[in-house]
Amino acid sequence: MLTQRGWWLLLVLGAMLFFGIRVSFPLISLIAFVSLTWLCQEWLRFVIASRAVVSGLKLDREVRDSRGGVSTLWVGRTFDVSITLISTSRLKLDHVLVEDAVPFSVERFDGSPFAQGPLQLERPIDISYRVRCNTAGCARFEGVLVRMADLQGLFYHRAFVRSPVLYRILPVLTHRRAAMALTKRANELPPPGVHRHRRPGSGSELLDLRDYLPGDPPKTIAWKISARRDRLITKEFESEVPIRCTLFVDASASVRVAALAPPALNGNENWRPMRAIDRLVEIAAGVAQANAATRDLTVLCLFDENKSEVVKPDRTGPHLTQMLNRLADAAGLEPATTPVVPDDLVPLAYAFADRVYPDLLSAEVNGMSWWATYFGNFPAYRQRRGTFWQRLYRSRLLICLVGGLGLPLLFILIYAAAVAGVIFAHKPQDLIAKTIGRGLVISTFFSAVSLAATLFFFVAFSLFGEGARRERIWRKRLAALLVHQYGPAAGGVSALLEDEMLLSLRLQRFLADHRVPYSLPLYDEAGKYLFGAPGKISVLATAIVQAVSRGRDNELFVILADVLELDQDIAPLMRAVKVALGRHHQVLFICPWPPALPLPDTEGTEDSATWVIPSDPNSAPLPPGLGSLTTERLQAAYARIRHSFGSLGVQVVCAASEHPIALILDRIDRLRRVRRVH
Amino acid sequence: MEERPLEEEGADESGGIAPYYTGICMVALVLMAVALDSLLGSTSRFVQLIPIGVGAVALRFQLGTGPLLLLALVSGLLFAGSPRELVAVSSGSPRVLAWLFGYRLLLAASSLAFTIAYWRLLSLETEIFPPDRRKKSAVNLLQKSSSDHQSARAAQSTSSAELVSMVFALAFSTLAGYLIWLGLDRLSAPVELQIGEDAPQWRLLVVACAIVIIGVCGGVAVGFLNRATATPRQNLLYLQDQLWRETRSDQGRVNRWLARARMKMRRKKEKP
Repeated sequence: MLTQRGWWLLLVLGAMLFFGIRVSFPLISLIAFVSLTWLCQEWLRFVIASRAVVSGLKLDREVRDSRGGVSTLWVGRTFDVSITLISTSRLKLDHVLVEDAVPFSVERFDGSPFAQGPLQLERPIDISYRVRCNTAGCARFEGVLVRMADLQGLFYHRAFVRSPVLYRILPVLTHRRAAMALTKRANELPPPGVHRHRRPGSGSELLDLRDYLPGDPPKTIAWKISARRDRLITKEFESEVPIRCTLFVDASASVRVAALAPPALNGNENWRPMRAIDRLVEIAAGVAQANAATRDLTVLCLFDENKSEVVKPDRTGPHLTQMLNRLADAAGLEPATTPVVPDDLVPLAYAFADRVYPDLLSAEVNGMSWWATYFGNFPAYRQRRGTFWQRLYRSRLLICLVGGLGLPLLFILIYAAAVAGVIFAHKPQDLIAKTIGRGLVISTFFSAVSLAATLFFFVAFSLFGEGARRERIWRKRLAALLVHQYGPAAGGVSALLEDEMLLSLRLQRFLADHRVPYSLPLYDEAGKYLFGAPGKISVLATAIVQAVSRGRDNELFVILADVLELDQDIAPLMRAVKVALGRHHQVLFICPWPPALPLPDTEGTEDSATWVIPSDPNSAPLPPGLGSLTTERLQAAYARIRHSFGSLGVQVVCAASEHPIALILDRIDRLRRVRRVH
Repeated sequence: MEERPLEEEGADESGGIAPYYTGICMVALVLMAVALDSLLGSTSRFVQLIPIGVGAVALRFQLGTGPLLLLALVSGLLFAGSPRELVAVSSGSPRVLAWLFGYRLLLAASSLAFTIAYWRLLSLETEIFPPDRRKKSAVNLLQKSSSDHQSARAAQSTSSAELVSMVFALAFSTLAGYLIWLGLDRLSAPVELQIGEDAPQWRLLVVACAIVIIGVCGGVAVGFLNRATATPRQNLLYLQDQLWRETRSDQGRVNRWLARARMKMRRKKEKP
């Protein structure tokens, strides 16, 4: 409540009061009394007003475009965000600063998310700014942060008015149109979405003539030709079938993990985190929209390392919207990986939670005893081998107990034993007296040294371990908050404090739920890639086989999957692709590529050395050699994948190149015109 | 149409209320010097100008500790000088006592006026909110850019009503403070305690007790206010925290063993 400025004023006034009364200088004490009276009055006013106003705050938010309020956002478009903070209390706060928490997935480019001024009844505070959406996903508006202070800056209070709203950011609306079947090869054009297929069927276009077989409908007999050839000839008609394009989109953690891309690549002034899934979603959305325009059927299959979800084939507008929503939801997810050490996640999560949940992190409802803050270890069971100093720090309680209690007690016991020994050995009186005297001095000296050393250690631990102490408090508060959000209430706090991996998973979930971008290590200590998720290969293979079993002819399977780190484990996927090819479907493989790396077909450039793996802007770029090695390794993996699929006749395309959408649409067009030889 | 931040608009409208606060600070310094000149007797006249110099320097360089320095300086001057009031009290003349009363109030009120006006001015020009205590790297990650930081009051958010309320608060505090001080000044130790003529000790004891009582009562009142206005989520978290505190050691022991078992199982799985 009191700021540093306030504490200093209180301290000076207290000293003046003490001095003025004690030394009988009435003028000094008068000045102190007058100032203290004013300070108390201000404090009382601020405490009552801040509590009353905060409990009666209401927030109205509207996101709109040029035509009015919207419920979904679109990539590449700008939106106006307007917020009104209304106080329902009769009391007035002299000064508040209101700040809207701009979602991380949008970019503010005009206006200010701040507003300030007095807050009182019938005088709301308005904020208005504009945002631009760069990538598909979700934008979560958490609410507004209200910072209150008196006019002198002596008292301060912070509250967050929570009003979480989630807006989907749908992929960009493309104007790309698929090539319609406009070539007039027959007397009539099929209706949109229906394509001629050169196989016998129930269509209206003549395909072939053949001898009559028993069972053929009489109405199909070509009478004139039968008369000319003197035997019964029947007509075969083409079949009219829809074309289906099935999009298998990888939504696993490997494509959701971000890498920092340099300004030249992301079109921004600064380095910006870019994810492979953004490009995949862009491609899938572009194809789906082009198909919907020609009324072709599109199937969307989103898969990750655990499951796959299919959006059934359709060609309607609501179906397209449903697909775009699913893609936006997939793009909005943050990466979740196997448990990692939570050291980097804790400060980030605490900084966010302290902003959004200040009331749930206050010491009144989420506290910790000073004893635990100084001597507690979280987790108490050491799970990692630390440095010597870390191990020494972890043993501070033992050191303090031994130095402050154990050793003095031991010296006293030795002293007592020596005295008893001398007494019971019936030694001369002067020797007994000498032993008592000298022993007392020696034991007192050593005890004092031990106590002084302990005190020194304690002070050193407190000074140098202040950061660690603060982190312990953060961990406990976060653990309580996470348990409050996700349960279980009984025993949950201790479970999170004792198990680092569990805490790490919960922190990732918390950050992901609030759409906060966070960085994770890509490789573990043994150099193993953490996001490979080999499970997704079998999930994808199963999804392809199921699609084949449900499919008809004229299907195009487009696989948009990241298997760069799994190029040795793609055998199940190859088998599934063979099944699809065996049923005369066409398959196209689109492989995502890390945003900041040179494309596979290009030569390695100097830029490859500046690639930054984690999405933390504070991270230093990789050493030049390591960047080049990473580029070479991934390019080699891409070449192997292309070779493997190429042997089956499946084209592999890099998603980062310019033409995947055009290529897919071209394949669909070829499917429409396919002529099969029977 | 391009929108402009509110603070810039306000800054263009006027210099705000800052010049008034500067003026109040200067007037308060002059009045302080006048009061000191009248209350301090034998010392040199230039001594009374020291607070004006210190105050002006603090204003010029926007020192956050300006009022504290000035209060300490005034206390030092009063202590080092030989106040005439001792002489005046001993003379007992009503005219002298009225003169003394006026200058005492003038000094106390001008000190307080300078304190208020100075810090209000500082909150307009430098910062009103305390710095963020969260870890900088984490905060940088959460903030989009360095411009996402505002700490000073915007000129547009000021109003002339502040000056009026300041005058009332000043008058009220001066009078209330003076009455409290007067009451304490007339306080004498009870005979039963047998502490003799040592009134300062007794006053100090009374003031200490009053501060402790006010502090405890204030703490209880604020605690009650917090509990009364707590949200259901805060109450749930409070109960959960109490449960953790009560069963911390047992829960810790159980979970420590569980974590150890999980870790060993994980290591076993990772082994080829």
